[in-house]
Amino acid sequence: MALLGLLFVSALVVAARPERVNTPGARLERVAKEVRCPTCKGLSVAESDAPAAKAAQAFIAERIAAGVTDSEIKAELRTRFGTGILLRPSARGVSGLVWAIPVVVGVLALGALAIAVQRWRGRTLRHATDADAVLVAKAAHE
Amino acid sequence: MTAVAEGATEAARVPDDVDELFLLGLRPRRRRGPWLGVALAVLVLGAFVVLLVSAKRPTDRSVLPGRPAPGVERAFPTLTGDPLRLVDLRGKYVVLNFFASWCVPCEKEHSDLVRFQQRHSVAGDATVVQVLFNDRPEAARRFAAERGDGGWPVLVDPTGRFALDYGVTGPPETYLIDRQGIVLAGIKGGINETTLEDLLKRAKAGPSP
Amino acid sequence: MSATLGSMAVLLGLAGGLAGVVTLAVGLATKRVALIRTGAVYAWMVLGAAVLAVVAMERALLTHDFSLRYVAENHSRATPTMYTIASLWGRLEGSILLWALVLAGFVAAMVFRFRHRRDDPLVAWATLVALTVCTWFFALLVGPANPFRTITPVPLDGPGPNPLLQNHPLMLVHPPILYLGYVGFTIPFAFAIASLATGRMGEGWLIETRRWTLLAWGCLTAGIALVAWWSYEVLGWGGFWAWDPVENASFLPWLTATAYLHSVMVQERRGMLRVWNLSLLCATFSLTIFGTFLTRSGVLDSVHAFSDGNIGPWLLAGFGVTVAVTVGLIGWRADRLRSPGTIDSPLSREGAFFLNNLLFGGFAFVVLLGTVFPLVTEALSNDRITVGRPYFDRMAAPIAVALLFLMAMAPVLPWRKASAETLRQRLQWPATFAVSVTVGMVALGYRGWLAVLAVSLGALAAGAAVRQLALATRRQGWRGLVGRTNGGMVVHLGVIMIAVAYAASAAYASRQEASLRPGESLRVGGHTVTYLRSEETRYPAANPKAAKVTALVRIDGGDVYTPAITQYRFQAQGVGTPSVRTGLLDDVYTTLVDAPGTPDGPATIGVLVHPLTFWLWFGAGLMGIGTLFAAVPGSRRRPTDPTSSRSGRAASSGPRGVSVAVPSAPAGDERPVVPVGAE
Repeated sequence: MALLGLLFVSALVVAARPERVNTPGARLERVAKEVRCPTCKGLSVAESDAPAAKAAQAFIAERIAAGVTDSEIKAELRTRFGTGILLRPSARGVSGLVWAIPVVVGVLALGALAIAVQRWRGRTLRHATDADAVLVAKAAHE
Repeated sequence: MTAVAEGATEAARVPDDVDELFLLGLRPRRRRGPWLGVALAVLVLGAFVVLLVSAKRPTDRSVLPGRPAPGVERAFPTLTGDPLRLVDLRGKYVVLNFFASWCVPCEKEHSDLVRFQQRHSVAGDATVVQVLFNDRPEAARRFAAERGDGGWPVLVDPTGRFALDYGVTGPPETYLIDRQGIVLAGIKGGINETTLEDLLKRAKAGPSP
Repeated sequence: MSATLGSMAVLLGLAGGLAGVVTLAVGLATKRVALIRTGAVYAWMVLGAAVLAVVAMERALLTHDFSLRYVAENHSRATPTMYTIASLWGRLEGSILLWALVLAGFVAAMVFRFRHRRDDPLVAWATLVALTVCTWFFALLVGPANPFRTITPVPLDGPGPNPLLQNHPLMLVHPPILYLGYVGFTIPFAFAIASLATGRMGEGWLIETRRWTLLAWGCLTAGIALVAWWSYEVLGWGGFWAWDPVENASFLPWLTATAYLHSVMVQERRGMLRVWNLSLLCATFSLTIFGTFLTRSGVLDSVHAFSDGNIGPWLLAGFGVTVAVTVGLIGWRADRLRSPGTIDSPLSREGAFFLNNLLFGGFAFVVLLGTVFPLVTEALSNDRITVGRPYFDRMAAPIAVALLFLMAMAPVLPWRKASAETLRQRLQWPATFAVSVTVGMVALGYRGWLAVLAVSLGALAAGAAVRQLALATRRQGWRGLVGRTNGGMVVHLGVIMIAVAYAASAAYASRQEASLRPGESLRVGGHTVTYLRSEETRYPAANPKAAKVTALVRIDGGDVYTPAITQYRFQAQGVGTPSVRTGLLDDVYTTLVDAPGTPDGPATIGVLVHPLTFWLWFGAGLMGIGTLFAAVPGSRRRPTDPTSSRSGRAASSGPRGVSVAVPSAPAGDERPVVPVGAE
């Protein structure tokens, strides 16, 4: 079992990608996946074939070639379309709640679980005391 | 008593807990806990329902007003052939209208735009400029032929870059650009003559204090 | 004529429902059995009314009766017959009509099934609740969602259904199946409310309605899978799940229902988690109403939404009332719901199921939060944000990983308490299998720790499930495949396939598009796609389609595939149809992005390569098969009989430590347990 565990962990470590690939193509894909296609309902620019999506992809590619960073490109799109153009809600401001609430609830749930487990443990773990052992020995001899 | 019948546990297990004593009918109990939970749940639910009842259909709002109009220096081909730059129209108010021949509200607003143009081309203070969105020039020509040519330039935006710069999410969309090239208003959806005249009047009156 | 017939039918249904509700209520209040009996009969009247209404609407559609507004907006003379029949549920009002029909059918089936016990106040209460829901839907049909409104002047023809709804035969089948799922939960819900209202919570009603819940769950699963398949085959964007609000709306009740199906086993065995089970069941039903609201109110943008009118507030009111009533009832009866037993050890099957509840509950919470959050921000800051795939994928990933792990653990965990030794011994082979798969995957060059982790845990879970099935079939032959636990293992295998395929798709898909001249090729993801030429088809004027351009492409020097764009006469944009080569290892998905301007000109061809997509659909099918297996009755005659009771076939004692729900002589350390306060 221990050997298996070791093999597993080493495989995972090997699998962990060293760092993000930053070729223009990969960057385009990464940014495009986060931008909503302007004329579709919810698809990303990477997934959609709509003309507006194509235009957005061309825009992103052009800006990447011009040396603009990923977050700046997203900001430029925001100034044109508003915040709703990005598929990933910002971690700041009101929209940050959508990230924070699950974490808070998760932590609370884990806490409650820990407390509950303690209570269960406390209830059912009964160790025999010495007096019990004496009783049992006496009864066994009868 | 039903409490006993319900609580039939494995035989000969000594009750060691308040709950079990209750269930065996040996001790009455009133619990506050559940009612707290109920009150909380009702509160959350109430907030949720209020939120959803007051929710409106998603309305896209343009974020351009107040900023310089994008793409004014770029020359675009028009349906008539001669390229046009918006900067050449500086000095007039420009009603920039994104449309397509397949868009139903665009059909509806077309006659309003025609009347607006007729009135203001005479006065010389404002003009309509249309931009074709996701459509073929032949279709646009047919559209104008069927519904009346407004006499305004129709820009062709083959790559969709112009529409992207204005944040267009679907025709029809109309932007009012003032004489200095600043976007004053952006309306997503159909527009009518009254609204246009209103916007123009307020634009001329100057920025509100 | 159809309009009058339909309107009469709907009014009849409303009247029948109301009459039934009133009769049953009075009968229960005054304890008059005669009234209770008559009350149940009204269910048949409601069914008859629903059938009549549907017949009236179909008649109107098939005879091109454009005097009905619904027909005028939804149908054209040129629409093929099959799609005409399906356009019954194509738009809002018709979909509510379909819902009412399915609901009336279920209620009548319930009345029939429990006819020998109809004097029982509990059954009467359940019928009352079910008829109340019926009445409400018929009220919607009479009021805001009236499908039988007429219009004047009567047009000669109509625009027909949305072309996306005519593109594929799947559209014919998916809404009814989805509705069977949604509506099916009404019956167990009615029984839950009935047991709460009467205070009789120790009689196994939720267990007796297990097969109803299983059927509803199975149909919901099938419905969701069909929607995903339709998305993939028809919409042309190459994906099958977009975390779209309407998709999420169908996913939410599925999550709580799945948790319920597992957690109810703990209640059966040890009488625990009763509050959880009731809450999960009521939540499932409430979420189906909520889902209906989301799909039809138009407050959220979706490619699946079909909202008109102002039915939103009504549905929301229904949702609010449902949740308020259930929460109130559970709070009121909380005393009686406390179980005498407790979870002895977290490392036990009960513990695993409890954790399961938490995980599924958390999953549902996160999906719900993400779906309605744009509304929250708009209310608070007047700015509408989008919560899209990046959020949901990021939130779902850890939960899905935890669930895969749990799927591996739960079948090998015994009830009450487990020791590390037991676990180690039972997980030996699954763990070996999982690690070999992991090492193999990494050796083959796949990277990305999350995808690899998902696949390894999937392999571990698959190993545990197969181990369970192998042991069961060794002991019992073919019967080792059916019954709740074994069917459940088959379903688990299906889920694992879906999870692994989803992870692979998300991590290793490749996509590219290029403008190709005839003869030119595109190389994507290890495949070569060569563009041959295009063909154009023009349709006669009577056809709703105007023209279709088909590109012929050859994949890997083999067969020719035909992605196309169809231009419909009354619609603006062309509708793309993808052409997919499905393989065991991956799908090559071709689309025609831009038709060539001239016959020999270049066409823009899009190619996506999706690994393991076939297994997604196969896994979904396996889930269906597993559900059927699980519905097969076990040897125990009635679910509320003790596990040690004499069963139909000779009980053999199996190898020590195998915990199978199909009862046999008590194995090893478990003494026969009379189901405690079994529900």
